[in-house]
Amino acid sequence: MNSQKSVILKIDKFSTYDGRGIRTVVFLKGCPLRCQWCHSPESWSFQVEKYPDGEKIGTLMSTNEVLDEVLKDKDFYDASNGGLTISGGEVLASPDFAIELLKKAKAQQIHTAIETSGYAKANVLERFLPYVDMWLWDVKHLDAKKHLFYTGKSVEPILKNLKCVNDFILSECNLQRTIILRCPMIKNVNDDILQLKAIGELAETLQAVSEIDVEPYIPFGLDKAKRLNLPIKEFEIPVRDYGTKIVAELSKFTSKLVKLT
Amino acid sequence: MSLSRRTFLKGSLLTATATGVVGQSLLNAATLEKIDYSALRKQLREYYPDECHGRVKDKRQGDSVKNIENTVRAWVKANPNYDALDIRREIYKAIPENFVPYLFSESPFYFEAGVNGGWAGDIPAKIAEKMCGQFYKRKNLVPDEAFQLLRNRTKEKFILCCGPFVDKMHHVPPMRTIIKKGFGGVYDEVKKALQECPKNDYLGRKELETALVGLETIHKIQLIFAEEAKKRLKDSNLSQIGRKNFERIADSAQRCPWEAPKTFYEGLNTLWFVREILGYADGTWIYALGRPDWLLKDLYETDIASGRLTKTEALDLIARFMVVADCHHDGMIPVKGYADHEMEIPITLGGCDKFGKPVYNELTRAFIDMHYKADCVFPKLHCRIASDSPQEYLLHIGEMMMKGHCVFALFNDDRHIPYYLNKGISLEDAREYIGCGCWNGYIDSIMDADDANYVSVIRTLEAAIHRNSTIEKETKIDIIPLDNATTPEEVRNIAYRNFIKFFRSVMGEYTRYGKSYAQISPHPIYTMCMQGGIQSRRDTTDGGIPVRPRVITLAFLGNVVDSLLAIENVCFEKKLCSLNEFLDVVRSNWNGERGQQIRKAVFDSPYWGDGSKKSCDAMAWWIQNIHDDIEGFITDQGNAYHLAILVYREFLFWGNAANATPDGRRKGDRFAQGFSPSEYRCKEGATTVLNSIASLPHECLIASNANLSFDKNAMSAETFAAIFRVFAKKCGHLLQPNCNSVEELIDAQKHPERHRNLMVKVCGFSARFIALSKRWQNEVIERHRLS
Repeated sequence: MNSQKSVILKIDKFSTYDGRGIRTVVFLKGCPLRCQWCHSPESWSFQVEKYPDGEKIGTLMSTNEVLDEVLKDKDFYDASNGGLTISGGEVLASPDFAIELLKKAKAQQIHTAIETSGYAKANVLERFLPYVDMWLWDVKHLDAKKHLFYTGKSVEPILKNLKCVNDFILSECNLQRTIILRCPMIKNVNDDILQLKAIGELAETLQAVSEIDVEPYIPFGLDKAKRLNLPIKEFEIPVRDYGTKIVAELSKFTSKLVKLT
Repeated sequence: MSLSRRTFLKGSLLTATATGVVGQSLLNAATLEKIDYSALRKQLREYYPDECHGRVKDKRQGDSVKNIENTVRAWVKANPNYDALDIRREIYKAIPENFVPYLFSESPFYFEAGVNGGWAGDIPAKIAEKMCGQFYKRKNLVPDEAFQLLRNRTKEKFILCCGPFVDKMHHVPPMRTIIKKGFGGVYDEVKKALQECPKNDYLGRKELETALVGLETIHKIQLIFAEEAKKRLKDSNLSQIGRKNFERIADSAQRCPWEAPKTFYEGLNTLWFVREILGYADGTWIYALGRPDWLLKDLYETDIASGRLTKTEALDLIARFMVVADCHHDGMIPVKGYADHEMEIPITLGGCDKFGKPVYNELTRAFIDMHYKADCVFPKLHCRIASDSPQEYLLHIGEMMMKGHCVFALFNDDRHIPYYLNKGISLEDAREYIGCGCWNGYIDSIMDADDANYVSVIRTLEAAIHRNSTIEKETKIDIIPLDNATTPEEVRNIAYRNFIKFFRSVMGEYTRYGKSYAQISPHPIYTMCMQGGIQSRRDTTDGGIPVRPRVITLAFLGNVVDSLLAIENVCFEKKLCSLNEFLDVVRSNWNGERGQQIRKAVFDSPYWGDGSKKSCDAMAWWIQNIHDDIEGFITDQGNAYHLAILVYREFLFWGNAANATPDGRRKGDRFAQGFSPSEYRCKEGATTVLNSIASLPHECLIASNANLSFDKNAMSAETFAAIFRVFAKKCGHLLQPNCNSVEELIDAQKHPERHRNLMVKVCGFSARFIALSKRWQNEVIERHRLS
C-alpha cells in the first residue's frame, strides 16, 4: 500500500480532550491561517524547522509509520470508544497524507476525527468526507471582516464547507458521524453577545452539530512564536470563571450541548 | 503462555454487558453525602493507639499480656525441656483467665483483644519469640554468622525480610473455613483426626492436641464476650444504641463463630473475630478482612428476604464494620517516617465467584459507597477486576476516583487466576483468591504465602560502580566491577552475574534457616483451619500445608534497565564518552559541566516505560532470566520460589541512602516504583506505560504492580473504566491509581481545611493528603506533575 509522507509536529497519546474517549492525536505541520492567538505557531510552516537553540521542530513520517504508532493504543480506543484525531497545523492543507492515514485507520476499525479550521477548497474537503467520523470544527469569528483580520483568511469558504459536511452527514443518514463546533474564546475579540448569538444560531442551522465546545484563550503560543520570531499577539488571560459564563450565555442561543473544555 | 480467564468463563459475558450507566441512583450527588459516625469514632479513638504500630490505650490489655507471659514463664521454669508447641499450648491455656474483653457501645462487633492495631497478632507472637527465640541458639539452628550476615545485608539495603529468614508476618485469615463450619466444626475434625492419629506420630499428635487446646480457648474468649455484654447491659445509663448492640452481642456470642454464622451480622462479626482473635491466640500476623461481598452474600440475601434485616440496617452495619478499621490508628497524625500509616486491613471486593460469574452485587456497591460516605481511608479497598468485569462496576470505581477517593488497589483476575492454575491450584479455588494486606493475592484457607522478601536489584549495580570493600566483605557479596567492559552485552552480563549470584545466596540462606521458625512460633489453630493441615498433622511453619510459596520481590528493576540502556546509548552507540569516563561521572554524582552534558544525553536515551521495543525487551530479559535461573530452587518447606515486582516505601528511603546510578538518578533521589517507570525519566502518557507493562512475560511473576497517577483534569469515570479494562486484559497483576490535579494538591497544601476528604495512594496504603508530611506531599505532587 502507498505510504505518503508528511511532516509531523508531534503525536500525543492518551489524549482525552480532542474527541470522545481515549485518543491519539497526530499533529501535522503546515497551516494557511495565521490566527493572532494561535497556540502552536511552530506548526505554521510545512517544513521541518529548528529553534535557534537547535531543537528540532517536526519529523518527516510516512502514513505507515504514523499508523504503527496509532495502532499501539488500539485496545484503549476499543475500551473507551476513542480513536485517532488528526490535528494541525491544518489537516485539510495536507489532504493526500491525511486522507491516506484516515483510510488506513478506518481499515483497522479505528474511529477517526479531524480537528480543523475548515479552510480548504471545496473539492479538497469533499475528498475527506467518507473517512471522517467526527469533525472538530473551529469557529474563530463569524464576522467576515474580523475573521480576515484576525486569521488572515476569509470565513466564507469555511462556512460553505461546514454546510457541505453537515449536508453530507445528513444525506448519508449515518448517525455515527457528527460535528462538534469548537470556539476559542478571546476576550474582546469574539466573545460579545452578537458573536455568541451568531454561533448559537449557526449551530441551530446545522443538524449534524451535536455539541459546542468553549475553549478560553491560553497563551501557549507566545513563547514559541517569540523563539521563531513569528507575529502573534498577546491577549487578555481569562479569569477563572470566564469560560463558565460564556457557556451560560451561549446556551441561551442554542439547544445544542455547550461544554467548557 | 497467557491463559485468559475468559477461557473459563463461558456464559459469564451476559452478566458483564456494558451498561454505560453508573450504579442506579447510588451515585447521584444527593445519595453520596457523608454520614456522621463521630460517636462511634470517638469511642474507638479513645481506645485504639494513635500510631498504627502503637499499643491500645487501655492499660489492662498490657497487664493481661504480662500476666500471660508470667504464667508461661513459671511453667517453663518447672519444665525446662519445653518445645515451641508446649509454649504455644501454655499461652492458649493462660489466655482465658487473663483475657480482657473490650466492647464499644456504638459498635455491634465483638473481637477486640488489644493486638497491634494495624497488623493483628504481634502480642502473643512476642511472648513465644521471647521464650523460643533462644532455640535459634540453644539448638544451634542458626549460627551467629548467618544472623550477622542477614543484619549486614539488611543494614546496607540489599534485602528486606519481615522476619529472620522467613516472612513471619503475612498471613490471610481462613475466612472461608470459619464462615462455612465455625471453629467448632474445625474442632470436631481435629478431634477425629487425633483419634485416628497413629500413636507413634508423636509430633502429629502434639500438633493436634495443641490445636484442640487453642480452639477451646477461642470458644472461651467468645463466651467471655457474651458475659461482658450481659454485664454492660446492667448499666442503667446505657444509650439506646448501646443496649441494642450489647443485646445483640450477648445473644450472638453464645454461639458464633464457634458455630458458623447464621446471619449477615454474625458473618460480619466473624470476619473481625477471625482476624483479631486468631492473630491474638496463634501469633500469626493476620491481615485482610476477607471478601465480604462474596462470602456473606447468601447470609445477606436470606436476611433481607426474611425481613430480619432491612437494607438501611445493612448499610449501617457495613459502615460501622469499616469505621472500626479506620479508627485502628489516628489518620490525622502526620505521615512522616517509614511506616506511620502502613495499616494492613484490606477487604477484597468484586472479581468472580467460584463458577466464574462476575461478582458485583448489592454488597459490593454498599461497601464501596459506605466507605466513601463514612469517610474512611481504611480498610483498604482491594477490588478485583477482569477484562470482562461489568462496566457498571468499573465506572463505580472510576466515579470514586474522580471524587478524590483514591483508596483502591485493583487486583487483576486475568493475571492472578491463570498463574494459580499453572501452579496446580484448582480453577474453583483460584477464582476465590483475595488481596492480601500488601500486594499479593492469596487463596483463602488454602494458601499461606511467605512474600515479604525484597531484594534490591539496583544495589548490586550501584555497588559495582561505587566500590566499597568493607561493605562487600561484611555482606559477602562478590562484586565484579563494570569498568573496562567493552560491549553493552558485557556490561549487562556483569550486572546480571553480580545480581544473580547474590540472589541465589539470599535464597540459600532462606532455605537453610527458614524452617527454624517452626521451632519458635508455630500456628496450630491456623494450621487446622487451612486445607491439608489436619491431614498432614504438621504445622504450617513446618511444611504442613501444601501451598506455601515463597515470594521474592525484585525491587527497582526499572532503574537497572534504565541504567543499562543509558550506558549502551551514551557510551556505545553515540560514543559521547568512554564507559570508564561515564562511570567516573556517575561516581562524581554528575558533577561539573561534563557531568551535566552526559546526564542530558542519558535523559535522551531509551528508558523503561517509553514503549520502545528496546526498553520492553530489556525489562523482559531480566525477568525471564531471573525466573529461569531460580527455577528448581526449593524453599525450606519444599515449595518453589516465586518472583514479584512490587512497590514499596523503600523506593523513597532506599533511594535516599543510595549513590548516583547510571540512569541519571542523583545521589539520594528516589527509585522507580514497581513497574512504574522512573519519575525522572517518564515523558509518556499512561497508555504507553501500560503498553510497556503489557509486553512483559507476566507468567513469570506471581505478583506485580504499578502506581500510576492520573491528572484529574484529563480523566472521567469512563476513561478510568477503559484504563482498568485494558489493564486487566493485558497488563500486570495490580494497579494502584491516583487521581488528582496538581492545582488541587497545591491548594490543599495551602488550605488544608478545604481538602479534608482528599485521599491519595501513597505506596501500598492511602492517606488523607493533608495528613502527609510536606516531604510525602511533595512526592505525591511531583508524581502528578509528571503524569
